[in-house]
Amino acid sequence: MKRSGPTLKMKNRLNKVILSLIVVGFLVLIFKIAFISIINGKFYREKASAQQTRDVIINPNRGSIYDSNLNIIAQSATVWTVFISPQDIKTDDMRNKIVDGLSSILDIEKNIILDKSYKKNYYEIIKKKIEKPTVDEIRSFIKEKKIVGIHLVEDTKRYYPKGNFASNIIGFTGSDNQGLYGLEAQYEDILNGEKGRIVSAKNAKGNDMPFGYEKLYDPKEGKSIVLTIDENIQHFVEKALNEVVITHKVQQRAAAVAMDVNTGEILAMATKPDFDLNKPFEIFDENARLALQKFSGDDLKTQTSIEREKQWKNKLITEPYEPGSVFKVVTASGYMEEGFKKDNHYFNCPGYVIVSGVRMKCWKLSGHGATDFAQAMVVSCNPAFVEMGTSLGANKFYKYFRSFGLTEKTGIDLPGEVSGIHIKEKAYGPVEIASSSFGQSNKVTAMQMITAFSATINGGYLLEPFIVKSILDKEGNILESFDKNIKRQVISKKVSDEMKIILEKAVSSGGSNAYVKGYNIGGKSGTSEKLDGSKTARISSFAGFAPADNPRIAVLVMVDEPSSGHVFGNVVAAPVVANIMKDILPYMNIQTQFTEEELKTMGVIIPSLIGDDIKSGKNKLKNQGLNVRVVGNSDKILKQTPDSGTSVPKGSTVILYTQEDDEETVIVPNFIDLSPDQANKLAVNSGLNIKFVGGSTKYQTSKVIKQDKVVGSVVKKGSLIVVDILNSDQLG
Amino acid sequence: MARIKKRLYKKQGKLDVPFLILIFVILSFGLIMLFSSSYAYAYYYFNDSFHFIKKQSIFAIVGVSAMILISYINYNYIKKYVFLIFGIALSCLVIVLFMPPLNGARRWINIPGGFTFQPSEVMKFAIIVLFSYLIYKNYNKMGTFLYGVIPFMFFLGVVAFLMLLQPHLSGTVLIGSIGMLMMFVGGTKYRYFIIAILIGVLGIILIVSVRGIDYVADRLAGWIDPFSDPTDSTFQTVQSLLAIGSGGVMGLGLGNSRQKYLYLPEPQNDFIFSIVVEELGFIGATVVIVLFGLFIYRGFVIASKSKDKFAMMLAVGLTAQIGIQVMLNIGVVTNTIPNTGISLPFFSYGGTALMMQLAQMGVILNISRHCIYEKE
Repeated sequence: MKRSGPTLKMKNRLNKVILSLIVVGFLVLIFKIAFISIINGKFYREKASAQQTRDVIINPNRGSIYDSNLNIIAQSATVWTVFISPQDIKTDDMRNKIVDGLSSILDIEKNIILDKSYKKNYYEIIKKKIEKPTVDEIRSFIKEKKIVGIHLVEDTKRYYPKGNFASNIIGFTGSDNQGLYGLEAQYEDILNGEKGRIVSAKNAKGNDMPFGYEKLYDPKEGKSIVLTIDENIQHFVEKALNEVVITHKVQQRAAAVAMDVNTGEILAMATKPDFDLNKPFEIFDENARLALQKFSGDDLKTQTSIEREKQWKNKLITEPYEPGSVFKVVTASGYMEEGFKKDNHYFNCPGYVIVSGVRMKCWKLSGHGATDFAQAMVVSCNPAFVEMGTSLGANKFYKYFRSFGLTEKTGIDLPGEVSGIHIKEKAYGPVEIASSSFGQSNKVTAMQMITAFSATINGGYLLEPFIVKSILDKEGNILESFDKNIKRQVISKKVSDEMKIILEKAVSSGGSNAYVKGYNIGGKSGTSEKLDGSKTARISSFAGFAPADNPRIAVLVMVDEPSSGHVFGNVVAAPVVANIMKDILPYMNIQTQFTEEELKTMGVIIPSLIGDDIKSGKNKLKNQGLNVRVVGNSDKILKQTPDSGTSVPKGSTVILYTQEDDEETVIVPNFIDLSPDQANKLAVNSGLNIKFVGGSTKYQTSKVIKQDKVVGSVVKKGSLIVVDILNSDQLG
Repeated sequence: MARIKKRLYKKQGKLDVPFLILIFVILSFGLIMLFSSSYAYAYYYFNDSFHFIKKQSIFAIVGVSAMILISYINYNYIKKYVFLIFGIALSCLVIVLFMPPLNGARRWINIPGGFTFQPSEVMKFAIIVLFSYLIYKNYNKMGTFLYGVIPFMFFLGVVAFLMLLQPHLSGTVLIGSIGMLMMFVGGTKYRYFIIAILIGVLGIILIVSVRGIDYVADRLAGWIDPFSDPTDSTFQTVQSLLAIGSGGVMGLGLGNSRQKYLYLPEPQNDFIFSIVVEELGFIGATVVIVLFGLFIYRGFVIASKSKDKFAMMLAVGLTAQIGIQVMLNIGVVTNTIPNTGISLPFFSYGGTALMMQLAQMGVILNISRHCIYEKE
């Protein structure tokens, strides 16, 4: 009996060896479970919930973009995404119906939809961003044919009702409503809001789980932004730029910015030619489009994206240029601030200056002779500025270069801003100072230039320019608003006041084309060689401000490579500024102040005198400062030339007819290239009235460049001829 | 008949109560989890959430009755009919080869009347009985190669051959493991196990050289990173890991598994343990493993105190069978070892298997009635 029982050896092998092995085995398994469920649990949980739940994304409404007067510039509207759930399509009959129906409604190839219908999931997008009428068509199709498996979810689409208005600053959004460019990208987080989701638990067959797990995450609506941009001012600026691009055959686009000099608010900012925000991927430049036709395949792709990039780019913040003579305001301010300016000091200009053996020309090859400080600025004399720069020396010159913000980004709330390329403080030798003094050698962005320019005339304050004024919630309540940000004072008020006077003189007495009748405008023109461009390539620019005695607005226009034959800032860019100013200033309710001379030639509107008796008619005209010539002997006025409602300068002659059939006619002579005086004489001699538009008539260097009536055409005697004049003095 | 019963009862002692309690606890736990894991699947495919639990409960009741009954039948009857039992099991293994294949394998015998059973289940029991008998008979010569190795290898070889014809690899591995374990306890020398391990290594090398490195590498890749190819062969494993991972420490709560909603294929079968972890967490999983550990320990205690070597080896084999199945099953669902098809005793759905397991527990309980407890 005892012999047949288990031996000790058996018991040991069982209870020591085998049991230990089993315990070890179980412990390994327990560790493995801990590893999966606790240590790596998150990984598996996420994967599990990804397969157990279905997400439906709800796109938030993207906020709008308004101009400073709350006019809509960009807004979102509801569109729909059509998707199918292939796993719900049970029969081939249904599949065919869906494929046929969607392909005809949405104009998509059948094969594409067919392939998607065989996917093993519940979410295959067929088409995005479809609009209401199409959606209605699909809905009735689903209803009529009792379709299962087609779904529609709401989405939003961005609309830019004003097309290419301010396109380079507004930017645009991509297919997922994400901001891709400009302000749309810069303020993405604010505009976009947060996506919402409906998360519901589904079993592997796509049906709801019995415990009905469903969670709704509401989308957070995007906020709106209000710009400092004023729609009207922007329009004036864009209109003027469009004109200059055409008249001067601009090769590398023209750009302009208008800024409130006291706050740094950007009132308008444009680069032309630009693009339509609703179709940002199209190439809008005719020449570029023609050039693209030469390419194909990958080359076409690269070239197209280069062209797109080009039309999108905001020139004012992304393309540094040599500011040329506009920069002289910085040199002059520093020179004054450091106390170098002496009333009795005269700069000498023989037409060139030699610095360390390098000869630098003045734009006036015959030289300006002796000029005082103010005159040097007015005539933009290069040797005078070389002397100023040399007096300042490297340290002080660089100090002002830096304090005027030309070594740093302006900080404007737009994406992609760059800082210029400048000579480092240590690298300045006499030649570098000399050329830098009149605006060559260093590159700055137009944005940097206008903030520096504003600092010279606003009391000396360098401001941080900004373009978004406030952020609004959905109901239009202001959530946040932005105000002016003074970076630092760079020159004293006294120096700034003096700069205002000098720059006003530069426009009013120097033959500048930035002159606008009735307004005091200050400004400085610039023409610069493009150091990295072709030898003849120039950038013409002009920076102006108004009113000169109490500046409110500054406008900088830069025209990159005009190819009309004219390149000088005063000829190409100054008229653009004048053009902009003549629209903006009345819009801003800035009072006109006419000079004596201006009052003499003020425009008057001719009243209607037909039917009046000759005596009272004569009196009416005389009271308005008009001359009268009567034809015929009757008492009643039957006709008049010019017609009523025409605006003519004071001193024009109105012809009144008191009898039928003897209207006199004249042949229009050629006024082009005549000086204002000559043109005036010719008009009087021809029996015509004349009106000058554009620059001031008081410079003999001004010339007529355009007349509104064709040479040789026959017009009534006394008709008004409107001529454009331009002072073609180069002025640096 | 009544007299025989009375006599049997009189001659036999009290059964091992802790072991019986453990069986009931594990069985109840298993049935609850079977219901929880199967009702979604049952609802979708049979339109009746109770489809599986109803059947399994019936088999459990029958099984428990059989267990109680068998606990009264002296195990010596088994000793008497060793070769008959083995002969029947062997015949079944042959008969099954003529059955229509299911999923490419012939593993089930259909009995007219709708019942099916796996002859490998019968053979498991038969091998345990046969090996217990061989060790009981030849214990003193177990140290020799002729008695300690040859007969066992012969029978295992025959069984393995027949089972691989089905083919039924997991069953073969299971029977082989139980057999080897019994030989070890029965006294076969260590050196033969070392030789066996060496042969195993050689076998693996042989497989690699015949099937090629790539085939093995593919299988291993699927095992090491099941997410690399979640659509195909590793789909079950991936879903199992997702269930276990979802459980965390405390689990999602009883009945709250999400993976059982048709993500994990047939959650009531081999992968029921992943649902246990998903619902009851790491804690629940540990409780299940500890319960099985206690069960094995108690089984071994009974074995160690058995009246004779036959009873001991019988108890060892039957207990170890459960232990090895638990290890292999949990090893598979946690992707610790490559996927084979082994169910979790008392948990997985399968009526005949449950009934067999309970009946075999009856044998252990009967052995416990004859245990010799030393007076302490």
